[in-house]
Parts: sequence; C-alpha cells; structure tokens
Amino acid sequence: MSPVTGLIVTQHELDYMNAAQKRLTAELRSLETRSTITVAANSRTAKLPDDVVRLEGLFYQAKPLRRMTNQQLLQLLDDDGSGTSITDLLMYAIVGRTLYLWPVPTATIALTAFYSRRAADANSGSTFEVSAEAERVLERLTAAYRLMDDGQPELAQAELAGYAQDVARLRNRYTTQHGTNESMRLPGRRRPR
Amino acid sequence: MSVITPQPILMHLRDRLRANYVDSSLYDDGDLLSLLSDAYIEACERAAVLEQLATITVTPLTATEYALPADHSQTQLVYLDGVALDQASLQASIGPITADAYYEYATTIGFTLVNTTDARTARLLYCARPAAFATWADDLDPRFPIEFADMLVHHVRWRVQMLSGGAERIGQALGDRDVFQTRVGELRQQMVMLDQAGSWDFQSGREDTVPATNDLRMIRAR
Repeated sequence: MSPVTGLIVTQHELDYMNAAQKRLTAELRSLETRSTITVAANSRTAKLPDDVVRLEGLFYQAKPLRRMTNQQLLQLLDDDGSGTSITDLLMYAIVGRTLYLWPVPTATIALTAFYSRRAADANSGSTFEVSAEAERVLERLTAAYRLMDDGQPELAQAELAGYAQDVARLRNRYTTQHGTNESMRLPGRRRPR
Repeated sequence: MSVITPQPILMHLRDRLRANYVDSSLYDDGDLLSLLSDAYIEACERAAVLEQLATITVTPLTATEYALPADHSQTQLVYLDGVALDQASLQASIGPITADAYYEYATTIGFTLVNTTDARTARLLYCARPAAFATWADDLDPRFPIEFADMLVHHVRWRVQMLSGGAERIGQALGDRDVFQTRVGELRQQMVMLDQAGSWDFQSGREDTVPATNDLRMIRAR
C-alpha cells in the first residue's frame, strides 16, 4: 500500500482518489471485515454499518442466519415468533440499511457479521487501502475521471472500458484465491448439486 | 506540508462540473445544487434504491383510504396481516368488492376488503423519494451507494449541454445521458442482486434456503 503523501498535492486530486477508491473497493469486494451487531431484547431491527457494500454472512453463536426475501419478511412482521426456539430458527432480511430479525429475540443478542466494505475516506497523509495491481487500477479509474472532466470523453470512455476489464480480471483472481467460500459470495450463483 | 482532508461529496461533484462543463456565469451555485438534486432524485427513483417500510392501521368502519407516506415514490409490496394484496384497478375500487386488494391514486392508498370490520395492519414496502439537497455539506442517503455518485455528474452535464445547443454539445450530451442510464442500470442490478442474495450457508457451503413463501406458516406452526 503506497502512501498517498507525495502523490496527492491538491484537494481535487484527493477527492478524485477517494471517489475512485470507494468505487474500486465496492466493485472488487476485496475489503472484508467482521463486526458485531447488537440487537436489543424484544427488538426486531438493527442498523447496518454505513460502509457495508454487501453482507456476506451473519451468525448467532456460530450458527448461520438464513436470509429471507422481502415477501417472506412481510409475511412474518406481525408475528414475533414467540414459542419458536431462537437458536433453531433465526432468519433475517434487509430493507434499506435496516436488518430485520425473526423470531424477535427475547434477550439482547450479539450477531457476528462478515461483510464487504467500501474504503474509508483517506486524507493526504494516509495510505491506499488497495495494494499491488489494484493500486494501478485505482490510478486508471482516477485518470478516467480526470479525462472526463477535462473535456476528453472518448479517451475517458476508453480508460473506463480498460478499467472494467481490469476489475473483472482482479475479481476473478480474488475469487480463485479464496476458494469455495468465495463462490458463495457471488450473487445469484448456485453450486451444482 | 499540511494534510489535506476530503471535502463533502457534493463539493467534489461541484468541482468536477465547474472544471469544464458548467460555467458559473450561466449557472450559479444555487442552480447547480438544484440540478444535482434533480439528478439524485431521478437516480434514486429509477433505480429504486431507497427502500422503506411503513405500517398503516386499516379501520374499515372508519375509512378505506389513507395518505401514502410523504416520501412515497413507488409501491413494491403491500401485505395485510401477513397476506399479500394485489393491486386493484380504480374501477374495481368503486364497484362491488370481490377480493381483498389495494388501489392507489395521487397520494392515496385505498383498500377493498371483503367482509371485514375489524382493524387490520397493512405493511407497505415502497421506494422513497429523497429530499432535495439544501447545502453543499449535505450527505447522500446511506442507502444510496456513494460509489455511484459519479452518475450525478453525467446527468447534470447531459441537461446543461442540451440546453446550450449546438451539434457538438448535443453529441456530448447524448454520451453523458448514455453513461447515466448505464449507471442507473448497474445500480438497479446491484439492488436486485442484494435482495436475492444470501441463500447460501456462508461457512459450510451447503445450500440452505429459507423455505418457499407458502411454507413459512408451517414453520411458525411447528
């Protein structure tokens, strides 16, 4: 991770770099983190952290929670699930940035969340949150933004097309390196039976 | 050398637009903030990003029509006591009631309920319309992924260049319109994928879906 210091000397450059880094890390989903989400007793909701790009997994005492669709959530909203064992059947849905649980916990519980996050805002004394080849791709996206604003839309589009190819390649490599679990994080994919 | 800190996202977008495309002699900062608000509202509505849940207590003996939430943009789902309602036509809303349903017009939602006098709970899942920006220090709604903020720049450029006229400008404007529309599509796709994701058991790798919708009541009864 290269230091930003020296590369960034103006406000404009820093803002471009931050915008590009947020987009790149969101599209790569390479910054993963673990966090604890506390849900108060008799409450069915909790707020997701603002930097969540995608919730990769949610656990209660090492047991994975299962995702409900919005239709399933609306079916169950008027049912607190009393009488259902919370350790046997805990499900969640996400509406906006709110996490909904079913059944409603009768005691305060701590959930463990694994999620992909976007990069935090950097200042000119920070280091990039991406490294190696991803850093070059970040510079490419920053250059594309600058070309776009400089009245060079054709060149900017060419750079953006190259950026998209680079992201796909890095994403593919990242998937391969992370093995089986990674395939679960790709939306819409199903492992063949 | 002093440390430079990032400025709010709207100020960054303003600087990008001022660089070459939006002349301050034609559009002052108030105009530009208004153009960015228009872009933001259109992006949120078209990509259906701002999901929101609302509860309406339906009391058939008192009223069958209720005000939609003030920020309502588009209804996604309506459930009554856990049962999905279909949308009825406005004609059906004033004719004989044949099935539980809902209807909408202007800023009103109404319910046609068969043989019901008891109070019922309706749940409305809808897409909200964001408020217009008031200052350059405003943040985007946390439900709007900030990595898509660049699309707002293209929307403003599209409008400004169309207004200025000239073949070259209009050609560039259409390019910006295409980028905006592509980004709307990408944002919408991301929202749909997030809604449909999560049917895998994260750690063990086995497929572990929640049972089909109709089976949920069986689970509850178990």
